[in-house]
Amino acid sequence: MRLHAVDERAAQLGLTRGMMLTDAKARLPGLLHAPADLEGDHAALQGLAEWCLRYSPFVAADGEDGLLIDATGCAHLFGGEEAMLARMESQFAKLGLKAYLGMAQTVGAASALARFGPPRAIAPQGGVSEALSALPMAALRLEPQVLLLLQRLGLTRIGQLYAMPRLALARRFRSRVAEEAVLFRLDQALGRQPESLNPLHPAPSFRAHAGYSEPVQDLSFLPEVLRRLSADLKSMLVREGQGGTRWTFRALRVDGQVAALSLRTARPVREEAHLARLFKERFEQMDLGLGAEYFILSADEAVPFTQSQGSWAESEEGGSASGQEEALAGLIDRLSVRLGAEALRLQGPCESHVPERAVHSRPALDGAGVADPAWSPSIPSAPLRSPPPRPLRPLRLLTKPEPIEVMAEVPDGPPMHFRWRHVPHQVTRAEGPERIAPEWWRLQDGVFEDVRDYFRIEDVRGRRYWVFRAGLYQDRAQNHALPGGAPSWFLHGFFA
Amino acid sequence: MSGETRGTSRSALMARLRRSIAEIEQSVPVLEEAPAALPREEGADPARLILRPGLHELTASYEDMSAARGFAFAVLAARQKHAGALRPARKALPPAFLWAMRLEERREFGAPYGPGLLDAGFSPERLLTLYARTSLDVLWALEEGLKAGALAGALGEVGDVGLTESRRLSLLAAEHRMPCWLIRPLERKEASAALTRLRIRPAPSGRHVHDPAAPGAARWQVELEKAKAGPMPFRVTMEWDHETHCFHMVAPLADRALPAAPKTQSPPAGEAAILPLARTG
Repeated sequence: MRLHAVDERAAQLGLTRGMMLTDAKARLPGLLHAPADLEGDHAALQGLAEWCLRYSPFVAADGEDGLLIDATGCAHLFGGEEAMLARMESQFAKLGLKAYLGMAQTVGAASALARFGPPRAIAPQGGVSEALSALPMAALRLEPQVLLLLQRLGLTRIGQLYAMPRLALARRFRSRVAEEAVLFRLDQALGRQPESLNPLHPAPSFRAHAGYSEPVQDLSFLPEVLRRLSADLKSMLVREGQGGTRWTFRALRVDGQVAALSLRTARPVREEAHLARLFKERFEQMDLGLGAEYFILSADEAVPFTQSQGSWAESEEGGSASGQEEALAGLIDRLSVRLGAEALRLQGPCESHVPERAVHSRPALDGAGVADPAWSPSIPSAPLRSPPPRPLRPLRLLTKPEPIEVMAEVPDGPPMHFRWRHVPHQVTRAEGPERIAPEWWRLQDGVFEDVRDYFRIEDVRGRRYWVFRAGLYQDRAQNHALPGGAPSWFLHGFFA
Repeated sequence: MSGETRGTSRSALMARLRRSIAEIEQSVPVLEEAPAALPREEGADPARLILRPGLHELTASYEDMSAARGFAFAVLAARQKHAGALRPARKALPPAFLWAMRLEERREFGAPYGPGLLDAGFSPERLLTLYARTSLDVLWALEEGLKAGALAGALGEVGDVGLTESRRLSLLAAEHRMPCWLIRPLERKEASAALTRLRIRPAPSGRHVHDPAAPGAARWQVELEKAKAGPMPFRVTMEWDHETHCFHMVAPLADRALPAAPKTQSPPAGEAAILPLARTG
């Protein structure tokens, strides 16, 4: 077993990462050690990255022990770059973490400065190469074998690479891979190669944030926080003529964890009252721990906001059409937020004659702006007495057809008796069969395995059912593999 | 004073009393169309009673639940037509409805099926279907639906509702002038604050015009068990006409032996008083 990480004190006593545990214990018998929890570390780093959203909307984890924050345009909010780093250091210290900070124009240089540079190092504009020149080669984020190669060549400081002609450098390395790696990393650090960070969350369209000097622990204070943030956000959205459809409310806790709530709305929204209603249902799910001091509300997705103005002529009978639509969208939001987007559904027609594929059920929230193909009446209205294009469909369709025991008068005919859920039913009237075969592209080996003959039947008490016989009778009878060749029957739906 | 005038003054008095009770209860106005003087069987139309704004209950035994749901869809279709006719400006979009049920009910009796609803005369594009986990969620959703003022009606399938919950729904429905329907299993006999309670039983369907062996227009045996500010309990067979979106009352079939068969003056020989319009194949 080897040491995975050592603290400052242990490092002073001469322990290093990668050392055998037995060696270390021989040197320091009183050594405290615990097994490394790599997954836990990873999760904690992700959590910490969320927590750093207070500094910038672009945050990413860097390797196993670093965080990258794109501070472009953010430093002035903290009173300059130095002040920002100082603030970060003290806030991390409050979490009990020692942060090594570095700031530069490129990701590579910032990472090198943070890990190997002086405390709170900032590479001045245009001075990146100078700032890096004294740092060891390890700061270039190279593989250990490449570092070993560089060491053998006598190259220990990054600055040594600057003066060296590229061709000469290429010649010295035997391995092309190593040479490319060194030059690539050097170019990245110096800004000759572009490198972008891969942020934790895509950039929100709009965000508002607020910090509190005292940690907020009481959930009942959250509506007030939300009201303040949504008012800020609303003014931004109004200015841009936008409304948000995806929202996240984050509470950055004092212990470095983040509690977040996300929700969607059916229509673009920017009213504080509406947001307050939606979030109110969910606040109780937020775990503020020992308190949260910083809050971010972001509209992660924004679309142009359509101004709603009802015509005055319509408003006489309680609310205009557009007001009604808005109220409906609000209702959809509320129900979906509380009971889950999957719970509230709308259905649209689908081009298929197979019953279960003829409808398309989708969450009502997804309906915003999507024009469904309209349901066209399959039965012409009263004056036209032409026969309908297809027999009637049931009002309720079972998700999965249920097997029933059937006695039929003639093999191909409708059932006479059937037993469903242990209850016998006597059929008095029947209509059918209506043969429904799967689409040809769904045929299996050219065999109509899933052909169904549907019957609309009514039992002696007047209950009306939709049942079907699976498979063609002749096929079944000829198929000796099936015992007795008896067809199987299913109940699929209910009529009024 | 002749008997006739006494009768009218009596009915006028009853109407006045009913109106004042309705005012006290802040419920809906009394139905003027259903004076108590008419024979009960003919005087009131259950369909009209449960289209009033307010809370209504449909009950059925477990095995008749599908019939109750079918009846409810017919009520929704009638309401949709009614609400659509009130607001011709909004003809492009049919009025929206909420149908809330538990996941349990979907598993057992399936989900509302668009093509079938369309066949029954209900256009399903704005039917919000909610599959909730518990009865409590269903009731909450109904309350929200009534409050939102965006629906033409809300319907819930619930296992059990207490008096408090039904009173809340009833008040909300009256306040927002919207009908709200509950489908309840018969086995649950809690008291409720509903305006109307109908007991639904299936009934053999009407005659199919083209094929006498096939099921025809849907029929139910509807028993009015309770109607606040309405007529006394009675029982009637109703038929849904999906083309005109109307309920018809059907005279009892000749071969049907009902213990409490309503007596009408002239039962048409053996069949419906109003023949079902062209039934589709």
